[in-house]
Amino acid sequence: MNNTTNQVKSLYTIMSDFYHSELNKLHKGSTVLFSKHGKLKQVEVDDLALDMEALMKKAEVKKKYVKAFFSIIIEALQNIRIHGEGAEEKDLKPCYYIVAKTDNSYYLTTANFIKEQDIDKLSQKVNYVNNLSPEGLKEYYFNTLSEGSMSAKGGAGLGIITLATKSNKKLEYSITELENTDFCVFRVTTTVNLTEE
Amino acid sequence: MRKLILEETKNTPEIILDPNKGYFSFKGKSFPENSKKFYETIMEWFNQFEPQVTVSYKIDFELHYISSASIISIFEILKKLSKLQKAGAKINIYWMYESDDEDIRKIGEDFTKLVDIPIELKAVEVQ
Repeated sequence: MNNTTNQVKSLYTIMSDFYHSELNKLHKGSTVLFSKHGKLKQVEVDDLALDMEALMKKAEVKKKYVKAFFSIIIEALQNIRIHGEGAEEKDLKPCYYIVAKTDNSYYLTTANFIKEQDIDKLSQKVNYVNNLSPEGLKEYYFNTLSEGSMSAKGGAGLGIITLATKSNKKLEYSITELENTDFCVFRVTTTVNLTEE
Repeated sequence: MRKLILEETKNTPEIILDPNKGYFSFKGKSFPENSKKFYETIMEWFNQFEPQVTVSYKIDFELHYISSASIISIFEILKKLSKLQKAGAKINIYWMYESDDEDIRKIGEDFTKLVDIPIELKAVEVQ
């Protein structure tokens, strides 16, 4: 076994620890609907979004919330596969996701590795969208779209903005630095509150 | 110019580009992970497309979900259509949205502000 394999293996263990700790401190009254830690394939992203859409429709959730949550799943999980660190191969990137519901909300928590050097850039971006008014967010989205071009990784720079747009709460996020590695754990929770506009 | 038909998949829409009938359509959900790669075929097709001056082309967008990356790709297609129109092609674009679907309507409205070609927004009955 070479060093790279060893490191990737230990990153999966770290992610697993974060996942189990997250499950123990979910929002009060939460029911977990779908969750996973480890690797994430594209087909799993598609199926999760489609399964949640069917489940929410069956629960007679308003269409706009169903669509918002569909969008949140796609943007958040594609973000992990495109931008996550810890492995080159998209299918091997260590991560976790938890889809849960409370009486009046659905939320998605995801976690992936980022590089220590990217902490400032990412936290600035999330803080920026979190501090915008709904109108300001719409304008920022529109301006980013109008300059729109696809990065080499296939991202459009709209992922985090779209998460913020679809959520009717602020994005809750944390970045945890780790010992003996240049990677940090970035976790973000995006919520659709069914009682708010 | 050959007709191009892509069947709908779980994460990509049905696409019909029929130059002989003057009819193009994009129908379904669009959230492929690599949107740029998926829409490359469509962009290449339009790059080779030579509109006939005697034909009026109709383009229907009837999409129910569009990921942020797909929005960028469709924006590129609309910019291409705008160029073709400026060069003399007769093109009518219809952006369909279910009457209770604010998301898709708003995306259509954004496009009307971003591209220099008329896009008619049309509310359709919820199925």
